[in-house]
Amino acid sequence: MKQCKNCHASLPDDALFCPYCETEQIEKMQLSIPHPRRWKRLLSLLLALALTVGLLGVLLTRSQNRTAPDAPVPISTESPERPTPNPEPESVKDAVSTESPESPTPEPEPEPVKDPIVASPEYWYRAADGMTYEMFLTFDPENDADKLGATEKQRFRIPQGGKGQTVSALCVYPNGFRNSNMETLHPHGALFSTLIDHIDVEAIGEGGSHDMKVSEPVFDEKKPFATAVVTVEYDSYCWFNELLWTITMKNGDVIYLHQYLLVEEMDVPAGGGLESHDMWYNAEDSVIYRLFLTFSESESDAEPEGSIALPLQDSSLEHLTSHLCVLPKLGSLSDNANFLDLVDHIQVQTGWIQHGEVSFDDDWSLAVASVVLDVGQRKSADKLVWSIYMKNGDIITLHQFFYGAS
Amino acid sequence: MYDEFLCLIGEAFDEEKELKRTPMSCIRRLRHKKSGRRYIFRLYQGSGEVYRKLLGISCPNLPKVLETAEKDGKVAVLEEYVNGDTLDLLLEGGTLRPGDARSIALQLCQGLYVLHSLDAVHRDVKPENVIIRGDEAVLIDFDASRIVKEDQRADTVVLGTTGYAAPEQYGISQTDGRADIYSLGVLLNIMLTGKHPSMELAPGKLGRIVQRCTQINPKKRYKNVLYLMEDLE
Repeated sequence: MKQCKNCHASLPDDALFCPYCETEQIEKMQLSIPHPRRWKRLLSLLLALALTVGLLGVLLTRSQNRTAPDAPVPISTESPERPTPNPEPESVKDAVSTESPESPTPEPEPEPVKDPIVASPEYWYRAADGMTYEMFLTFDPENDADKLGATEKQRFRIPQGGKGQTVSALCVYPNGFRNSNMETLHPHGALFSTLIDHIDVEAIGEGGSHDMKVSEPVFDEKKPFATAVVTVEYDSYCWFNELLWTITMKNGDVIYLHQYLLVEEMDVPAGGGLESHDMWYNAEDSVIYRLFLTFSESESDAEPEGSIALPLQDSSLEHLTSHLCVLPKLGSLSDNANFLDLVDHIQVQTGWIQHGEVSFDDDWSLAVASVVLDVGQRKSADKLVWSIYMKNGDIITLHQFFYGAS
Repeated sequence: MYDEFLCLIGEAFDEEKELKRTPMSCIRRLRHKKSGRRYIFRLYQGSGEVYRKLLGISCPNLPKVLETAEKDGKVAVLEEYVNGDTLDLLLEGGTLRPGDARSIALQLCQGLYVLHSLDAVHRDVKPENVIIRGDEAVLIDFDASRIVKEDQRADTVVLGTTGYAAPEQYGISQTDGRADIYSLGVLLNIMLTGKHPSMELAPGKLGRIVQRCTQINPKKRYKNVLYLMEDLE
């Protein structure tokens, strides 16, 4: 037994709290939570220091190994350019040399506009020149530029299984000039361009091995209403197809405009679908199940896969297995068998790829069914469609695509 | 220590209210006989490893664990009473403003950072386990938590809450801190929209953060809560 350090009451030897006087018998450690930016800056600083030391080492070695004058080793007589370190985090300030390096001017963070519109392809902007400009995004600057209505402009339909490209254009009309001819518009459109500091266009999308690719913005001075244009390479397996335009003005205003690319005619079963090979389903038992297809060979690595590239020249890959995975409700993996109790039957269909029967006798706990595909004969593309017919009449359709790849 | 601990609790505290009882656990609110201060007393079957690790730690976003004792698979824990409303109660009144949701998520990240630094995973992040104490969000209830063991393939026991539990919590592999990131992503979406991300995804940047948090493949989520905090800020 020991005594409380405060009230001297008898306590068990390993007691950490005195219930009589409510005194803690130990000092608690306060774990400091690194500020994410300071933590990254610290890392950058350490890297910069390591680089500096490395560079100095190289230069010193060179000066020691200097050869005869007729074969000079170029050595700079200036002191080596010190890599500009990132601003020091406070916690390591004392540990760094007192000869403080010239602090780099941090990039000014752009000031957001007073009324930023986050989810719109259109915005009326009061510019520094006193004019109000209508700014909008369009996928068809040749034809849509003079149309009103945001909905047509903000969505682009991608055919299922489709890959391709489109343009996305930022158009600007000075207020009151929408129906004017080009000669009238041109000076104002060009003027707006001079107010822009820079434009970034980002594709917000993830989808297995396929991501949208966006070119650098091109400032099109020929078209008065298309201030800048980017080319977007899309793929229908990008999960979330969103284009975010960030327009930074010279006066510090930042304007965000969005557009969306949507896979067209996707079968959306009861409960909603995210993607053709990966979706949520509200089952009759009021549980949200997640269903997805995968070609993965190992259960622990299984993740949703909407497509696979089949090498055209390599015929060694003869068979693939597509697994239908169901994330079960809480309990154990054997509960995904409950999902099968809600299923009436499952069909799979392909084009030219031969396939076996749907098997429910899977080694995986995660998968409820699988089908073996004969991919020995190569052709350009095909599609695998899983149709899950539920007892309550719902039909869930999941797709996977095959591409021939050289 | 376990039996002595229970005796001491009986001597120094009165039971005020039983807050929750399940076949595996019991949570009571106690009141100190002299000071009148409230405490939470937990009795459950399982491992007390996480609570033991929290004994020496102080974090504004986690309840203070004052004492813990174990015997034959039974665990007793005395912790501070966090005075406030649970987040699920607050959400009954409607969704939160993005700024408030972000602030709560950031604070929960801080609590999770402490937990994950101790190699612990909460595994049950949900509105019922978050208490709003003034401006602070406190993550409570570590009964489902576990210590991440490097050589273990899968979690021994599947725990969590439907809808919030990360896919790997269904027993495919061992859970790590990214399972909590998944649950936090679902929680963030519910704070913003009132709905699970599968039903309605929050708009804008916070929606993208939710998407990343709730990727099926843990490798595609934020690597750790610090990365998530950076995006939230």
